[in-house]
Amino acid sequence: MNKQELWEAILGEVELSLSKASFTTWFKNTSIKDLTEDTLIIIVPNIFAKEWLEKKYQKTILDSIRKHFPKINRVICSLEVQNKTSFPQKSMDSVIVKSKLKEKLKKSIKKSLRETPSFNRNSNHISSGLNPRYKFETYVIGANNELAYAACQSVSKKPGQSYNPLFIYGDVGLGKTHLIQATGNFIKAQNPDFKIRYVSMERFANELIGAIQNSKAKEFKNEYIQLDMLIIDDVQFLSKKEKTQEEFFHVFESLYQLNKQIIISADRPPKSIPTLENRLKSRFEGGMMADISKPDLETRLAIIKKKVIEKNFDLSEEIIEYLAKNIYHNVRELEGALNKIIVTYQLRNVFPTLKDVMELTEDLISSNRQSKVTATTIVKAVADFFNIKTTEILGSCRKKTVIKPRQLTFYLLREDLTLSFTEIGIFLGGKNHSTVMYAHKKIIKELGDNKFLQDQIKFIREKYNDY
Amino acid sequence: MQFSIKRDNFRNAISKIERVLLKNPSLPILSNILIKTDKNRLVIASTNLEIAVKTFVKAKINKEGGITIPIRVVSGFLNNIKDDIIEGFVIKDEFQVKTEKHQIKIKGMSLDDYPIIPENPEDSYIKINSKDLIENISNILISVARNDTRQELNGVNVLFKKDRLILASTDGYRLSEVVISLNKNNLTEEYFIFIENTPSIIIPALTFSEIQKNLTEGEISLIIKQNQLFVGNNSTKIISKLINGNYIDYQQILPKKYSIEVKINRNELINALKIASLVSRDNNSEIKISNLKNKKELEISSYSNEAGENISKIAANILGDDFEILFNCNYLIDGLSVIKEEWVILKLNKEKSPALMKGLDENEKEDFKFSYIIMPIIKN
Repeated sequence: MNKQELWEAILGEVELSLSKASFTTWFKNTSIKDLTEDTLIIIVPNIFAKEWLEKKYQKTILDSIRKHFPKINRVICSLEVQNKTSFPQKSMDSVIVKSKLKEKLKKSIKKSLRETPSFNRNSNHISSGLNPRYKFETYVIGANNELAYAACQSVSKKPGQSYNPLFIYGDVGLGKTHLIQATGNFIKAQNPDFKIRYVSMERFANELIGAIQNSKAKEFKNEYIQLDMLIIDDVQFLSKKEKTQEEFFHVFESLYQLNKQIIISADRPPKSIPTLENRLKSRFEGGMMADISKPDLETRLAIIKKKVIEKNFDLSEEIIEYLAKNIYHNVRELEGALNKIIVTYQLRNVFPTLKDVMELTEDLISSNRQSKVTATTIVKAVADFFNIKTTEILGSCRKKTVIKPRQLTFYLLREDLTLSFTEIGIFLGGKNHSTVMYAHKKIIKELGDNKFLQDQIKFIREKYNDY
Repeated sequence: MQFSIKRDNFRNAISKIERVLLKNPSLPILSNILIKTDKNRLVIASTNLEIAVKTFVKAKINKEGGITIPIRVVSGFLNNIKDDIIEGFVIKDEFQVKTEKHQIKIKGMSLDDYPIIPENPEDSYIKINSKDLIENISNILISVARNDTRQELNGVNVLFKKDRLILASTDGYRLSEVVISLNKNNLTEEYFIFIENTPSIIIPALTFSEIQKNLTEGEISLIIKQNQLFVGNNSTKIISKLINGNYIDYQQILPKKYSIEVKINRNELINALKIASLVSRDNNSEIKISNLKNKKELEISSYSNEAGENISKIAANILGDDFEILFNCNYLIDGLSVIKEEWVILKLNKEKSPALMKGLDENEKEDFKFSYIIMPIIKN
């Protein structure tokens, strides 16, 4: 007999001894939640039913359940708990865990109220910094992220042993954070005692500064050195922060020596992070590097379908295809557009048509069209990438650090905007067209076997397409 | 039970708790109210099994006890007598009331058969001055859906933040958002623990209107336990269920920016809208607002085949593009009537995007506490 049949049997008996009105009032929407050796736990819809069933009908219910389970001597009612709570009250065990957790949480809150800077200590439940929302199950795998996904999977199974450090790079909104947090969450689920910390580089730097101000730099570092696994997001923030690089290097080195897993993410490969110390660069490159590029159409379709199911909504194929075809830059934008559609139509309580969707996402999609790329944006992107001033590219400085970016600019203007060599020359501060031609040729020749240069160009292109 | 009490005190107490009772409850005792003694006070309570209201009132208690009696009879009796002092007795299941001129015996039911109304916990998450809460409630109640199949929309979403509450309600046509600042000293540690796990809850609209009517003075304390809301001041306590479900993520549909701004006198706008509504199409009170070329006046017009047509022009300060947008006039009036400031700002985009309405203070600063968002009428 399963729980439902058992409860129906009991209700059948209870019904006989009650008036119809009281029976429906008190027993509507009730069910059995759990049955232990000596206790029956019933789910009830409101607190009045709880009080009533426990106090008035305890005996009636006991009498009839004892016919099936003679050992039961207690009936407890539990209120339907809102499904949002992140600690589902599945059984009595988890209630106990919860109260322990509460103690911990209480302590840590007390602490954080008292102390600055507010990085949490000890209680690794909260201080892991991981967002439980990010899971492998919700990650959509495509050709663009296969390698990164496989690497993370392998790390999650054998942290510290397979690929260390693991360096994931790719443009904004493509799922780096999702993937690295999912890895952390997976390990956490397997082994709750594993000390994991997820932190963005920016936060790390801020905490470090806070710790130095309070002369607690040593404690701060110890905090990190005791971890079993460190996940650092957006490591490109290290650029130009010498002191932070220094401290981060020590943390990195001590963890690495102890074979603790380190996962790093950035928006570009280590080589392209300006002013990153060489020793860090080479260490980042020493493990496994995997890139995440923009998803192809099929992957975008799969992402949308997954999200739609997750959000319990229904969209026609036509609309899904429209979104996938037109929003291709970045997964976050795709999700944003989808959220907007879903919320709008949940409110109006109707299903959207393709026309509605087109109107609703108009602003997102027009910003996607690449027509906005101009010579100025290209120059700006190149200058940003190499960390120099645009005037330097436009000027006639012959420094090596400037010549390379300038040649790349010639190349990109020619390839992407199909400007004539003369036009490019004039635009870049009145250079002779033959200079431009020479540079263009030179880059094309170099591109053939220089993977590094190919990467650089790819990143610069992504940059100005995002402007 | 035996007590004497002033008629007005007795009647006030009963009027506080009678609204939650249902007309035709499934269980007959649910049309009764509960009266019992509690040391030197009377406790009067009622419930419809989703919400319970309990109030304490001063009385002279001669003998302890309690009973439940039908609300219809007891409130009818109190409304029709003029005598100042009332004496009540319980004899078995009968409640006898005596005044100078009248005497009535009311058949009641035993206390033991009445639903058990849980005690409010001693501790609280939030303490808040009743004024700070009450003055915001009508703003939020105007937009709550009535009897929508989507349960969540029949309630008010309360988002807990470390230093404020954000209340929101919507029926799909308009949306109200109210920010209530919290004083850190009035929050307990349990509050911070609670909001870690439960960032937001949905409270039924009825509960809010009971709070508004009953908790008008003193300090209100609030706590959530076992998926129930316990809220109350010194004399009155309300216990309410919460609505299960996830509230719509409305932030997603709010425009990030607006291309048109209209600053206008609130009373003039209300008057013009009320005139327009007289001859507007009656199915959704459709009116049109547009700018005059000089951007110094707002034109409000309505038209219907049956009733007639109207045009009003009121002085306004208009910035941005030309526009011509259709609205449901009643929705505009609802929002304007809860705004307290003399001047309001309307922020608009082209015809299909939601519009935002806010009050403006003397320095033309926007009210940060209350935002009212209205969907325009979209014609295909």
